Amino acid sequence: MTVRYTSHPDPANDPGHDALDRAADIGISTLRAAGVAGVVSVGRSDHWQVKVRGGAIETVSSAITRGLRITAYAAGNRCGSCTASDLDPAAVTALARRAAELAAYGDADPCAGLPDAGECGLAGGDLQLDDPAVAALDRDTLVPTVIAAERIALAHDPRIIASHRSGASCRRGESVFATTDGVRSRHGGTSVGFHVIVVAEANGEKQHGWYATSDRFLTGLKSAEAVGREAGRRAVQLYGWKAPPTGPARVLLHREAAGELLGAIAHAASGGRVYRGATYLHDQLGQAIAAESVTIVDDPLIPRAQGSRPCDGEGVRSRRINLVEGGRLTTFLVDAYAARRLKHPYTGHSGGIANLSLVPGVAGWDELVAELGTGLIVTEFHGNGVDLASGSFSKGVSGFWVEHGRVVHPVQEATVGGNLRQLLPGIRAIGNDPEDQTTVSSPSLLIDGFTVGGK
Amino acid sequence: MPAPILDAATCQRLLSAALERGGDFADVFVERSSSRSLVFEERKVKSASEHRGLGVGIRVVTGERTGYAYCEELDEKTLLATARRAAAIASGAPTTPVQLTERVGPAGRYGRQWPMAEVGVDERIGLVRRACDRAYAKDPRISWVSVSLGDQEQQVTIAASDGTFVSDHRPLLRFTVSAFAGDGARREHGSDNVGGRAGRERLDEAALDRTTDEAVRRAVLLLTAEESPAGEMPVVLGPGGCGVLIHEAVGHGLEADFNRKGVSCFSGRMGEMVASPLVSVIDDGTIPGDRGALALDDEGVPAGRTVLIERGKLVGYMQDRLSARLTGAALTGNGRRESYAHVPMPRMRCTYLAGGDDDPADIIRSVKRGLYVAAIGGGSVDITKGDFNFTVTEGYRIEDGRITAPVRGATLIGNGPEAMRRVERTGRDWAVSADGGTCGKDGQGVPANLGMPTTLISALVVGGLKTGERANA
Repeated sequence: MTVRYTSHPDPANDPGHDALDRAADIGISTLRAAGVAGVVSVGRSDHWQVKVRGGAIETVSSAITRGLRITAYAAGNRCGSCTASDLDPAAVTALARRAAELAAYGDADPCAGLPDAGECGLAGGDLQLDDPAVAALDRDTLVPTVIAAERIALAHDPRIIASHRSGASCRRGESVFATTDGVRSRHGGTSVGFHVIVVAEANGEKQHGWYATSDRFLTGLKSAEAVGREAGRRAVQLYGWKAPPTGPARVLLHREAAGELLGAIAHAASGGRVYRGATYLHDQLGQAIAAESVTIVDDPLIPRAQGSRPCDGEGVRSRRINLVEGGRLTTFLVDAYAARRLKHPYTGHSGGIANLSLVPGVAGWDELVAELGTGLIVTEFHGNGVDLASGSFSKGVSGFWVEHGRVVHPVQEATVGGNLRQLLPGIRAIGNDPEDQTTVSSPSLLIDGFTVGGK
Repeated sequence: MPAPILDAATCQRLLSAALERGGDFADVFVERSSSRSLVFEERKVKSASEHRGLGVGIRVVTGERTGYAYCEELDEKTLLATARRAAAIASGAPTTPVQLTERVGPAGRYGRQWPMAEVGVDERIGLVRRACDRAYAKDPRISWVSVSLGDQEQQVTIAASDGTFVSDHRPLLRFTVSAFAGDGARREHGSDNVGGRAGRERLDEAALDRTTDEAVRRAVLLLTAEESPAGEMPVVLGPGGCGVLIHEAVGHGLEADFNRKGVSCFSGRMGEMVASPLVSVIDDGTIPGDRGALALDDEGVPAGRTVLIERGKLVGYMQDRLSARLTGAALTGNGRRESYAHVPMPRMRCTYLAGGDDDPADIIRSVKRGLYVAAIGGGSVDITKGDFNFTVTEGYRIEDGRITAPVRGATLIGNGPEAMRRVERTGRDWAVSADGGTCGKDGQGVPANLGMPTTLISALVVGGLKTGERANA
């Protein structure tokens, strides 16, 4: 990882100075000359993608792209912004001037503007965001892995008839962030991954199964065997499905699905929603919003993790925070605007959550199923039926119906509904499942208070 | 006729470079875009922003294989290198592209008497301020209003190895009002938008007032809504935007790429009855000024009106060049892409269920207990199983043939082909949505629109919180 932070940059003495730094310098000096404050963020990404089907390459695409964003704050923190992909010096100058012009149309807002300088900077420690092996990865290296994973998935069960689409992708990005206050940072990152989707058919009914792995580091990827087998297993796991009975039911969210609930909590705690009154949590700071066993952490400083970052999108230094502690909402997630508006401490959440996780409990999967007794295991949610203003949560699901601690049949074309005000306090057991690779990670959760919609 | 962004001679050289290692087909997609956006919140201009984009995507197709590369400058050396990166997929003797001949797409698809590019920031501020003031004044329970106005001009030039050389200049406009209403501890949200491939003329006072009033009405209505009933019941969908149902339940499954690969629930069913005889589904790129309108698709093919299902019978798929070539089908002008950074795919334009003969009031009267859906927020579909889901943003109970209490928190789920077999009545009040939405597929978003008449589906599973009442038609 290459990260630098200097409060007074001296580009002339900087060996890594290149087109990104030049664009940032020009943007900042143009904003200063126009008499406005502002931020320039400029990035470059080198990426490729391969799609594979039936053991052969279907599509290969590659590109190097650039992106430039300039935000200007005129007197009274009136805001204007411009984005473009052209890093040519004349284009950057024109874009910065236009951002300053647009700012003049804004209305004064005391909460807008650059973050307080004391909050800005890069968190220390080596976050290991950048894997040189990924940056150097040739696409031909990963194709045999994808083809093997696809073959393993197809061979998993005779009902699996076709590959839908499998593929791999790889990206290395680098970005520079600079403000007229003299804050400047530069950091890079890599990501690599592959996935498999296969289709099964039995009795005239098609089902699909997918599975994916991704990581910042090449060595962090799961094996072709693991990905292929899991995609194959999923393609056939719902055959013999029936709709569950309609009515209140205890629900066990498998960890693959539980992340959706966790994501909803983070969105509901976002500062932007709080000052708009657009979340049911707006007056719940310090209050019990979930069962006492629930602790939720957002940690941007985990080495190698996908959501890790030394600073947020406004240059605010990253820090680990507890969002929920012992069931109580301990903070909102704020950017600089929301921090000022709500008179709330900075949390470094411009650009959203980093690595959000619910702290695992002690119950094993079998114990959770036994405690579920009669009810629904949800393995996947479908659709977006969450209304954070009211707390209403209503989604399509697939999974398994359980009676007396035993799986009776698979389920699809069903819904679960409830209100987060009751569902989060209704969490009665938390699994001890290992954390996964995603930026939102939850163990399995056993919850009271859902209504199941089926037959 | 729109002027090409890149001249024919340069495009011809790029196509030759792209086919240096052989290949069945190559194309060059040149895009220049600009967009402007204004966000007005709490009676203030929150931000004014602009975007400028430029890029070139080059594709080489050989058999079922596609090579794609793009760059963000028009420098010929970079362009040739990009063409050769795309060509790496092929490995044979060079192919010679056909000499490019400039052609013109169908006229009159975009309403643009008054281009938005000519509308200054001050005038835009006036439009959004007026809507914001109106929303606050409309009801004392309105606690927060956000109004946004965004427009885009997308210029494209497409050159292909079959001699195609065309340019298109597409406007896109959207005006959105979003309002929160508060009443004690309860908070509810309502929104509405108007727009399309049109200019400033689309934003007349009546249209803006209607959009504003609708957002306010929905937010306030939800303050008195009860929890939705749950379980299987008859559902009546209102005209216009509820066409999301058709888009998800039928549309995606009829995109040719899924069917060529045999992974759609409609694969291999051409000519079969796949829906009730009341169901005719059309994907239409020809409605002037519509959000789904196109003169030419993103492969330079004139966009037409494609009948997908005719009185219940599956008669057509939506094609892009790749699928059409591999299956010997005729082109339909459905090859679309989000931008130069994306490979084209079969995509929808304005997809709708055709109108029927019934009086909408009769349709509602025919239902003893069920759900009336006036607006849907969004949905998704698993094209393999055909299972879809939607979020209802404005819904009501139907009791004894009458629309009664508003409900909130309803989700509709079902299976596309199954739901289409359960279409029992279609009304004579066919309409398309005043704006439409953004359709996402494989990570690419494109503007699309929807439509339908009042429609009765005899049974769908409704997700909600209230149980214990069985519903029967």
